[in-house]
Amino acid sequence: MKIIKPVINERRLTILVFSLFFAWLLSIPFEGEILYTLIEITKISYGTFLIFGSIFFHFIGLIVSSLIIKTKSRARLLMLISIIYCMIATTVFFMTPSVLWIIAVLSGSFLTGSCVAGWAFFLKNSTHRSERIKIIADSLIGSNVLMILINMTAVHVSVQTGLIFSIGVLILALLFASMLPKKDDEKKDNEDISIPGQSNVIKPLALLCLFIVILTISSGLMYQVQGPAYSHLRGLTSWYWAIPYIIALLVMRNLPKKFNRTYILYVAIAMIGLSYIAFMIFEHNVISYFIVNTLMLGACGIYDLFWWSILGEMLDWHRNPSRILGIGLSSNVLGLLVGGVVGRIMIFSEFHKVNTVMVVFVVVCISIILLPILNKHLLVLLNEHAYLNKLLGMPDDEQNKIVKRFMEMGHLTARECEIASLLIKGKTYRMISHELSISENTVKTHIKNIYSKLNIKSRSDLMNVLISNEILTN
Amino acid sequence: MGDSYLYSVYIKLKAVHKKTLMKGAYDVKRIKVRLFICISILAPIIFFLFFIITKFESSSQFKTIILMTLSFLAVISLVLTIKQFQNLKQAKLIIENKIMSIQPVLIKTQDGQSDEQSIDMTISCFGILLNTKVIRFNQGKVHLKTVELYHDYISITYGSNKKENQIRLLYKKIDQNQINDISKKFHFETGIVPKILYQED
Repeated sequence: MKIIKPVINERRLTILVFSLFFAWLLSIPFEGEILYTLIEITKISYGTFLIFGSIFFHFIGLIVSSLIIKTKSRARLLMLISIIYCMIATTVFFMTPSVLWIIAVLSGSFLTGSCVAGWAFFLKNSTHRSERIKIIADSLIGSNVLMILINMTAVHVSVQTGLIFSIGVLILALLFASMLPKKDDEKKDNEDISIPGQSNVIKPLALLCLFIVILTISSGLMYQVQGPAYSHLRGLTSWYWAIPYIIALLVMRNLPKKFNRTYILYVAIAMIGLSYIAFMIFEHNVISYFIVNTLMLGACGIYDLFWWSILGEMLDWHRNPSRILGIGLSSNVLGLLVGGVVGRIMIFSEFHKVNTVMVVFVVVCISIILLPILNKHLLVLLNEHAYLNKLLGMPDDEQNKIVKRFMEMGHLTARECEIASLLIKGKTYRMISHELSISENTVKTHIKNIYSKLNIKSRSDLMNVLISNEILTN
Repeated sequence: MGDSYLYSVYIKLKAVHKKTLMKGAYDVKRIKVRLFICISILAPIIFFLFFIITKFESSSQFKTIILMTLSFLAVISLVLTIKQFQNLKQAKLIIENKIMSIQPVLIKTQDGQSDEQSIDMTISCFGILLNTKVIRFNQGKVHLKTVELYHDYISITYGSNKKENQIRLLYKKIDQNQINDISKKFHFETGIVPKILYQED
């Protein structure tokens, strides 16, 4: 172990642990190929319950662990416990189906939530936030490659071999997780660190969660509608399924920093639309699978890395990163769950009389119409937060001087100066109205006038102009 | 006009608001009543419109005429409702940001004719409210340009780059301290430094 440690630094360990553990998660409890195969072979009546129950318990696990994990050492301990538990839970599948299967799947799914949420501490500490996108991409690529290997083993060799493989993956995950550092290098876990603009995390996080939920509803529907249509091509789906996803991750990972990723997002929206059109037009054969899956999973890869990278950047905004990651990922799981349940209801209920694919297509279209709007708002909020952090990092006197000097240049009135200085401190309209004892309507009108005078459109523009002006002055 | 207990409004120069000011006097409650009336007209029109569209399937000429008439009435009442709603919003904004208020006011025009209807008048940084009539400035492209304070009237110039309006609002003779207070408020809220042209009698 002493030989391995210097070679594998914290960054690599972080990637390895996540890749290995996530591969197991994707292969078994999280709509994994092994779970589906086991349900199919054993023909158990509670198969649907197992699939949706595991997703639901994973969701609960993420939420609960985001609330209870407060220190890095606790996160590490929970990760180790959950990996060991998942190893034990996997061995249950070698037995004949019984209530133990339900307990193993549900409790394992719950505990995986804590492992994934706890990983946030290591993701945050191992690199600078601008580099986190690479760690996330590497981890997702690693986990998907491993998942493909486990799936292929399960399909082409046997399910039992696939299960043994997945246990081996967990053993490696346990080994690398035990090497993870126990404590923060810079600050003590329980130290009260003042993070600027922390109170403003809620709004961008809520918007991001909404963004993720809408996005993953279509993925959930995809599992239910497209999956069964190509179930006869199991040999192909076992390995090709995640290939476009991995390629998309690789492309996104290696894009230059200056490249505007929003454009790619719009390409992904078009890809989802086209995949559904292709699904409706073509017969469900090998060629159509290649087209549909490439478009759909490619888009999923783009989307996933997009929101994962935002979540990664957000980890710095709160003293407890597992809370941010836990809540963010739980919205992803929730979206999948909602999409899956809706898809299942439509397939097996009276809605089946209506063309299910058409209904799904409409839902997906509505989702993708909403995404650019949400994306726009999200970017504005993220910019605001970035500028806010920069401004609030300055001493009060310096802040006031900058604001005053700038306001004089902008020909603002004394009242507008008062409002603008509160606005750039991240206060809401309501807070400003309370502080100045004026109505919210008055605050809005003054802000409209300020924006008009400075020829800007948003609070983030105001902060940007303010900072740029200060740089130019100096 | 010289009567110290007689408050008046005096409109000068390119007085686009002359007619509206002459008509006079309403308050926020009256704007609300107007808005309510507009909604009361709009709602049944829309109801009938939907009723006719959904219930009568025949495409007779009579139905077409009724539909067109109702649509026309709906559009007009909708426009009026929106206008009243905007007026109400503006009136509230002006009252919330009051710099000075005068009540009651007697309106007098430049040609000496007087309308002895008493009205309330509120001056704020966002405009002047003469009951339901709203004169807007410091919103959009209309800006407040100059303010002149006299012992018994205030002269306000406002407008866009293309067009300017001046309005004189006469009030009860007030002392220097009050004028100074009003001047400070104007400066704080609007950035305009009023010219104080106070003359002792």
